[in-house]
Amino acid sequence: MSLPLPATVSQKGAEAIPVIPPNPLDAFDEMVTGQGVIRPHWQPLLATLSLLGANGLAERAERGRQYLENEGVTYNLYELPGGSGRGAAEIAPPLPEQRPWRLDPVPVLLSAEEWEGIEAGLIQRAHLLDLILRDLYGPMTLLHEQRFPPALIFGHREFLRPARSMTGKPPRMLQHYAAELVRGPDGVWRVIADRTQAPVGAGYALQNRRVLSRLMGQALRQCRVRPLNAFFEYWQADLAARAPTQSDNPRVVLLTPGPYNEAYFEHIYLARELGATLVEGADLTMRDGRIFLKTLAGLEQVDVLLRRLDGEWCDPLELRADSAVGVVGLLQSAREGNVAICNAIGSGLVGAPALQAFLPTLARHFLGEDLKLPSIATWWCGQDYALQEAIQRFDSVVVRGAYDLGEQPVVVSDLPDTERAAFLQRIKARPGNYVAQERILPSVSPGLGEKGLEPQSILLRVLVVADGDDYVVMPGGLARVPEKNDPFGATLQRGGINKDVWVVAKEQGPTVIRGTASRQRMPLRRSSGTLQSRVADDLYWLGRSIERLDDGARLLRAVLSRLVGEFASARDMVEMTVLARTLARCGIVDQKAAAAPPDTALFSGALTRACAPGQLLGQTLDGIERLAVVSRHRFSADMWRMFNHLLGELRLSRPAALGDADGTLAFCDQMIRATAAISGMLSEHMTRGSGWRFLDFGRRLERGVFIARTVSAATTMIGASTDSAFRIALEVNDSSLTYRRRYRSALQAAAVFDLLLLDISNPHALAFQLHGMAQHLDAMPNPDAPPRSADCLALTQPFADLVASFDRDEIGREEEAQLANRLRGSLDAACQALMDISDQLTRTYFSHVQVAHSFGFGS
Amino acid sequence: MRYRLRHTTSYTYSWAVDISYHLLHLALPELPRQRVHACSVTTNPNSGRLSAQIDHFGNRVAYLTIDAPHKRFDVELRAEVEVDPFAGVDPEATPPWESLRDMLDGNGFPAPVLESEFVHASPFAQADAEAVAYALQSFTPSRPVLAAAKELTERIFRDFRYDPAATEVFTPVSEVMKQRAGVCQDFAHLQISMLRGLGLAARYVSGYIRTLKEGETTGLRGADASHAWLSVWCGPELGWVDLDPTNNMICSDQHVTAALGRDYGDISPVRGVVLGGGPHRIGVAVELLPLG
Repeated sequence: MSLPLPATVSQKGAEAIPVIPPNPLDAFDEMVTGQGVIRPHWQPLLATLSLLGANGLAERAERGRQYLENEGVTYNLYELPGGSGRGAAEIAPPLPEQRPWRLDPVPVLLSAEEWEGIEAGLIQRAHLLDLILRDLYGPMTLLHEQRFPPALIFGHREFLRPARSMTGKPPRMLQHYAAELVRGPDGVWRVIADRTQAPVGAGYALQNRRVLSRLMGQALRQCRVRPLNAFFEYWQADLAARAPTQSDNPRVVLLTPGPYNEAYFEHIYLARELGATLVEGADLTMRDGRIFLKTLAGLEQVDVLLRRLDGEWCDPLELRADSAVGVVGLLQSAREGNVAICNAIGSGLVGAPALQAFLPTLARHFLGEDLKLPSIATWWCGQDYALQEAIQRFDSVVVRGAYDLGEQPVVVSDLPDTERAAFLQRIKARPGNYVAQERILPSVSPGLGEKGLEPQSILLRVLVVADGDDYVVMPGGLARVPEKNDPFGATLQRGGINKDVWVVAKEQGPTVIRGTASRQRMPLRRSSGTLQSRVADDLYWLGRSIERLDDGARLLRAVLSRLVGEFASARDMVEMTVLARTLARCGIVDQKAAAAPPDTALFSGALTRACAPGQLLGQTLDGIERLAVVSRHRFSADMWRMFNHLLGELRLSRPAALGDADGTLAFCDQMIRATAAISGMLSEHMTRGSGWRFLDFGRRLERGVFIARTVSAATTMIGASTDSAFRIALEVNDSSLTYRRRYRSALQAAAVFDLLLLDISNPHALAFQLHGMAQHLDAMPNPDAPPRSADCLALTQPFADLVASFDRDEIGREEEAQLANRLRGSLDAACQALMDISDQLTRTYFSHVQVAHSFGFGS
Repeated sequence: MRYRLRHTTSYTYSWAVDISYHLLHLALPELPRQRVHACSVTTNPNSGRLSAQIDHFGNRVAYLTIDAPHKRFDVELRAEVEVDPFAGVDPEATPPWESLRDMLDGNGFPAPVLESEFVHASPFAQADAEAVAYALQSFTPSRPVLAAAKELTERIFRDFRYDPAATEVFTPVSEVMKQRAGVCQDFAHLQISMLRGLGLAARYVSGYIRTLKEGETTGLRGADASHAWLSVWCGPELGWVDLDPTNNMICSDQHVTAALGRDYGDISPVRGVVLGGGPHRIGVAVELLPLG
């Protein structure tokens, strides 16, 4: 198409072409010129939109929503202060509400020429911000030469004094950065915020592009949109190049505050994209001035750390002592040059909104140039003239905190008159704490609204990353439709709709993409080798918790099914008593309730509350949810979705089940089904690496303990109600069917005990668990350290003799009781031995997963 | 006055600590009125990795990592130090406090750049409106800064009870205002918060005060442990002057300075993080004896 298409054409024929109402404001229109002509770079997209029609577009939008949901793309709605502390691991804090990522199927298009301006402006700005940071964290000449107000440094909580270099100018501090841009009615792009701490957005932008390339693949090609992949290759290469010592394969880790952080999804995504290991503070340790990753195979040195944790939380020794998510000694290691931290700790300092007011003069000072991309007009009220300016135009400005980007901006004209004067008084009392910024009407771009396409205001977030001594800009980014009360789109947290940003490639010349040829060919590997100890620990407990839930639900069901019947026979009463005793032994109900007669309210009340949040089963359920979240990065998107679904269903049905016998019984069935589904999924989809071994080991061990406990409890009935003893033992260990198939209905001691204790073909037999554990131990990184496989296998020994003793024609009553006692003794000993094995495993593999205590700074 | 100083701190843990990290603000600095003739810091176990640094405030900091199991950690500072008396200054002849406030504001660009750091609230010395109102009774218009600050020190000494049971390390200024009680750290933070609330520069000083001499019956408060007081900036000519609200005095040659910062958090004498160890006991002993 050579001639520009008049905009009015697109409004004809509502069925075929989505209706684009005229822009009602004076905002700059990204798609239509002032003369009502569609800008050329939008035309191929518009052609596609026309072909799709309103229904087609809505259908694409729905497909996009599903892709995102399937990928589990979320944004956590709130963040716990300081992320998740390991100290509180036992009591799971509530999970943050996860907000689905909302993506508009219609992108924002930017022409090649326009982009060149943004690109050059942001590269200049990144250089400038880095130079400012390195001066302020070094010689502070800007302060001594009166070029920069000291209040903006000394009063800023992100000026982290221990991070200052006392021996000269520090090396590059800003490795990556994000700018928020808005285009005013004059068509000029302006920067409204510089995010220099650990900016979110790159991962989400890539995710958006992947979805849009499925929804709008044809338009993407026709518009000749620049790909985003090269940006991540630059980023990865630059991280590797910052390793303090040259090595072929430096270890890069991405330090996240954990699953409770608002952007945890992006942390997982970025780590994968950049080839970095996703770690939490507890995974790292400082030894001898260097930072190490704690893995099952020992300590591995870390060369580069991509920081997603705010600076002040990074090192409890020198920064906030109450941080449970940092690494003790991290600053010291960085100071000695043994680890490169990107961005350097303290980089958040230059994100202060007040800095905008001084950037033009600082650009001339450092670079001898004017800013290529202007900032939004900003007055720092700490200077008299600026305060006067702010007061004069008070009704037309937005006021925000001078230091913190996260503070909610106040649109003065939105304030009631009564509050306006009081607000001005607050500013005058502490003027240095405020900036006034001009209010800009953002440009509009078409987006899918409730009634088809409509012009929507947009903000742009663009990412920049270092490339050696220079910077490169992501050709694209994240566009967002700000909420009404949020003129600057203060954070992603407030939600809102996101859009992909398409930057059109230049007419001439091939797009240069950095090749990866320089990298060495990688040796083939069958394992990733370096599972973090903490992750192994979490997976081990996930295995144990899933099994504990399954066992507990089975046991509880056995009692409840006898209780809810119309009439409980004498046999039922006896069996319930024994089962209740077992429940108490497992910690599922308390001793007193278990000892009460089954027809009392005390007894039934305890059973129907067994899944309540404070009770063991309730805690186990909550624990599984927490462990699943922290282990999320070990699971594929499909597995995670399944987990999410099953756990979500349990969460929904639990409240109604509480306090009601029939409801609890149904809930037990649901728990048993869910654990079965989870087990099946794990066994079919998890790679048989260390992670899986620890998970399965946990399961086997927990089940072994359960078998030993339940059979031990059943032996107390031998003699008085022998049949009940056997029936219960088989039932709660899911072996009744197998038994009946083999032996019909006759219940005999030797046959029952053989099936439950020795039969390695029965997945609910003790020997089966011990054999499985032994195999896992042999394949673990340190097979010679306790627990050893031989110790596991030896545990079956006493049972072979005991079962043989039962397996005789003539056993006297007294002898039977004696044998039952011996068997009980051996089972209890096996139970204890399994606990010891768990302790040994913890000591050998998880011992450096310890809680740190601070002192000398507070209590 | 010349002193011999000995400061020992010992941590006794319930069970073995696997690894410990320490940050020590112990080594004495050279200051205009303070000369350090000898100074050594020793630790037990002494097998650790030690590195020394100068921090942002100019203090001497030591980082120590002990990577071997230990049930006890001792650190000892021994020094010989000489302090000159603070004399010849008439508090009534110091500049009016508002002139310093304006100088420190400087319409965004104060000439005393480094001093202006100590105008801002800090984590342990947060702004408190009530505290400022209390201070304003002494800071009447045009009053000479040191005269007003000295009177404020005296009023804190009079109105606030010295009571180690009243507060913890984290007790905020507002709480100390309510309780009208605390220890040397609280009084230092309190007066710092008041002065900063007025727009003046005040910094936190940790150090030691002369121990009771033989024959003396009443000693100075804070002599049995490390002590804390504050410094107020009195203009370009006079510079920083130290005030001790716990003992109601302008510091002269009975105080030895260990470190300077915005508040306790910047210069806690022995800070640490340990892995393992469980509950622990701390023992502190300080002796600052005049020589000759």
